[in-house]
Amino acid sequence: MLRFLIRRFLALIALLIATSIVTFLLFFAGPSDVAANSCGKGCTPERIQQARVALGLDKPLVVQYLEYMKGLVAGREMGPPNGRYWCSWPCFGTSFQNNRPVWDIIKTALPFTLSIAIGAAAIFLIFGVGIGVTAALHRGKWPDKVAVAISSLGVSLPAPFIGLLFLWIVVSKWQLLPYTSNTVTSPWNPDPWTWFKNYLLAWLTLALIFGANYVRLTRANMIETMGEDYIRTARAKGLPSRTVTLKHGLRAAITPVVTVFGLDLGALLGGAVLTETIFSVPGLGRTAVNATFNQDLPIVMAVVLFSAFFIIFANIIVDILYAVIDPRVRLN
Amino acid sequence: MNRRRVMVATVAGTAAVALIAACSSSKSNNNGGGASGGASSAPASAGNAAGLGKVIQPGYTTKGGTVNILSDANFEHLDPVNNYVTNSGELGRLIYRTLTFIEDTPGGKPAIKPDLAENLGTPSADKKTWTYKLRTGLKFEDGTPITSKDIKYAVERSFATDIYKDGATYMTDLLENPNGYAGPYASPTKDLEGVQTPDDNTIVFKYASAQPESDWILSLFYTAPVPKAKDDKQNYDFHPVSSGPYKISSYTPDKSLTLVRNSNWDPASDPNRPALPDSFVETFGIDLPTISQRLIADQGADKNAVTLENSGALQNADLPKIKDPSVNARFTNGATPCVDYEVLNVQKIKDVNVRKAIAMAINRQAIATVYGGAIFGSVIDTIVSPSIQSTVPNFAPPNLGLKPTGDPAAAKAMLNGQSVTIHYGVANTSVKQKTVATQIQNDLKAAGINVVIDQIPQSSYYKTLRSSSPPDMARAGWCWDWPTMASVTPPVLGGNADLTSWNANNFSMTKDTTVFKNIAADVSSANSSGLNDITNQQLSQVWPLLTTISSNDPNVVGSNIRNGGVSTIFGEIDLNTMGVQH
Repeated sequence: MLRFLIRRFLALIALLIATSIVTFLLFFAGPSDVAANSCGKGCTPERIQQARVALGLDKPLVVQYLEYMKGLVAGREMGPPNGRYWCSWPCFGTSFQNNRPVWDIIKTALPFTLSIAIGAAAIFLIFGVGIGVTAALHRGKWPDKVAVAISSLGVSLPAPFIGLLFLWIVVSKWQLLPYTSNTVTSPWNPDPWTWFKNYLLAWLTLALIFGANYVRLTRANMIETMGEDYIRTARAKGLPSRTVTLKHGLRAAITPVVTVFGLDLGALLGGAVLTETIFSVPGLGRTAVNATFNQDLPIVMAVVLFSAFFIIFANIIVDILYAVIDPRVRLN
Repeated sequence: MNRRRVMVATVAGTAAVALIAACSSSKSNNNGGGASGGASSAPASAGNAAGLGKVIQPGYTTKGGTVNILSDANFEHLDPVNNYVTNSGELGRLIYRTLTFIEDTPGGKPAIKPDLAENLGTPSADKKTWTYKLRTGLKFEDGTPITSKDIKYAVERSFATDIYKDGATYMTDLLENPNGYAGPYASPTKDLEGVQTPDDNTIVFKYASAQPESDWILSLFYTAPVPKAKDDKQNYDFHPVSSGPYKISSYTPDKSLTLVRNSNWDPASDPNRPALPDSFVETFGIDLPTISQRLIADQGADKNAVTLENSGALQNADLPKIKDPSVNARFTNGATPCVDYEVLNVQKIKDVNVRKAIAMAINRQAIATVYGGAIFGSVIDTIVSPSIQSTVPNFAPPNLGLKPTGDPAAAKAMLNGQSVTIHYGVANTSVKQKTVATQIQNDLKAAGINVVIDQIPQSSYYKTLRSSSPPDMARAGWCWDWPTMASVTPPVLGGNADLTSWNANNFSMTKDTTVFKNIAADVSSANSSGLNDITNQQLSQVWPLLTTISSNDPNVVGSNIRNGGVSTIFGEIDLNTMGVQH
């Protein structure tokens, strides 16, 4: 198991380096001249060059990349010759827009994204799997039909539609919940109930979209698993129906669900762009969108790296969970 | 939201305006009675349908309460040397004072007033040297006296363009600098000879050429005093020291900013700032449609809310709600300092008759509709925005002889069968700009002119316009820094011969140096009406551009907001004169 973990973590680092190279080239070697665009009224070639130096864009691309990577692990000195400052590790650079350290920006945005991702993931996993199991056990009957209908709807509706509909009806019309506040960052800041109310609509929006897949996936796998011989054997042995369903049926059927969940959670932790934008949650996704509009490349780069990290890391966790859930994986 | 961003945003089409279709609410009556409590709303100064100049619940003088500001993105900068954007500019005026101050009370004419200075400047005979005496009793937020050296240090920082790249450049452009001073960090042993401080209460500005508008020039934030001991270069952005009525009590970028009263600000020394609210709390990261909805809904703490977002963050879907009397009573509007125009590149379209024919054929009323209708802007014949027009003696716009809806038939007749093809550049991500381009393409087709629309990457749009191979025609705009003609005509119609200025129509490539000499001479004599003559002559005879829209900043504010109006200088809801019922 230890060798397996070491191997997977080495792969994680290799993948992150590859991602960083591709991302860096994509943004920093692109045709856009950030220095020129940051130079507004009264712009002169001298000022563009000064901006280029201040942003560190005057150096060869390889040097820029190596300095960037060095900053991630050891920190680095940045800024123009007369305004040098130390950027502590992990140094993702500073914002082209306002010189704020990107790591500070990420740290500010991350709690919001965590709040959205974890809450939504809990809802769509629990309800998605629960409804999927229920539908499978009542195949062809009304619970199954309702579950299939809801999941079809969830798959079909785009996040902006659902989110805006929720905002309009629940917040604006009925005033049952407040507009999302960016002062609510966690269950303990200020309190769990405020946190719950603040993010509930964002969670439900994501849960409706993501949960639909879990219903369909769980249902299909459960139907297949519950038809297996060993399930019939378990029933023949006189095991209680609950034990047969949860211990033998669900455990076998849930493996693909875990895989999908790992990917979904990883992606959500990288920022739910549309949902964060609709609900005005200043998480990683919204930060990335704003940074993209402003050509704030260090922020975009950092968010991409974080997203990649979360997805790769979530996959490793999924691999480990495989071994826990399915003994056959452990044996292999 | 900044002066640059206003232009960029309209090009990008990301702002609300960009997506707003024709707007029937522009005909709504904005002169309605007031909301609950307080005085009734003042009518728009000209009784116009767009509500221009209207002040919501005026005459409020009670101090206290908190104004909540709803914002989408964080400020770019709060350091005065880098503060050159309208949203942070509006807030900056609350935090720091400048040598002079542009008074632009909503509904009124802009005027220049002394601020830290006791009086406006005393010029030398040649208007190259200007002397200012400071008021007494000026203090920073920590109680330290403000001296002329603190103002000089602020100006010195503006020379450190290697570090501060986003601020206004007038000081580096205009002041005497014989020894190549490059800021307090690069030139620690040199003196900025263009600014002298004979004593703590006197500051003297020495310009390289005559600057009759020195009082206006010195109203920008580079004269906001900075205590040298507190200057930590780029980090000063996050904790500028207050010299004004409010200081920063907390600032978490991307989350919130809170301003509270500065106990060391003496109201007796500052006739320009009523400072009615006790505090301002700005929240960042709110989606534009949500801001629009919340301001219209007017619930809870949003009764005290305003926004500094472009066009008040108003969204297409929300516009009909402005007709509702309860919302309309909270609606105000005002002209921004910006005028949009279509560049007719004189080097690419060399025949003046073709340029004129293009101008004749374009339906500018249709362009106004694309902008969202009268609420968001109106057709204009000059590069001089309405707020400047009101200050120029005997101002007269050029007689362009154009129909607002265009006259393709007359344009076709003028071309006399000539075959013309022009390339029109649009930013590739701008919905609004593409819509306007298509409109122009159709207008010119009817005049027999073939238009090829070239997509320019958004990120390099202005760079392309300023390059040596710009498109024949494209949209651009200009927002003044102070309301005089000298802040408009030279940069728009002049520009540097090497094309490094903002000028995007390559007008300077005509090599008609007489024009520039005339402009320079006129600026020197501060003869604004003479400058207007030059402007009109160029616009109506040379046709280097066709002005299209003078843009507005419509806003809905919370029901507790008093003295609600749009400032002329920043084209934002005016925080300086605002009060809040509490």
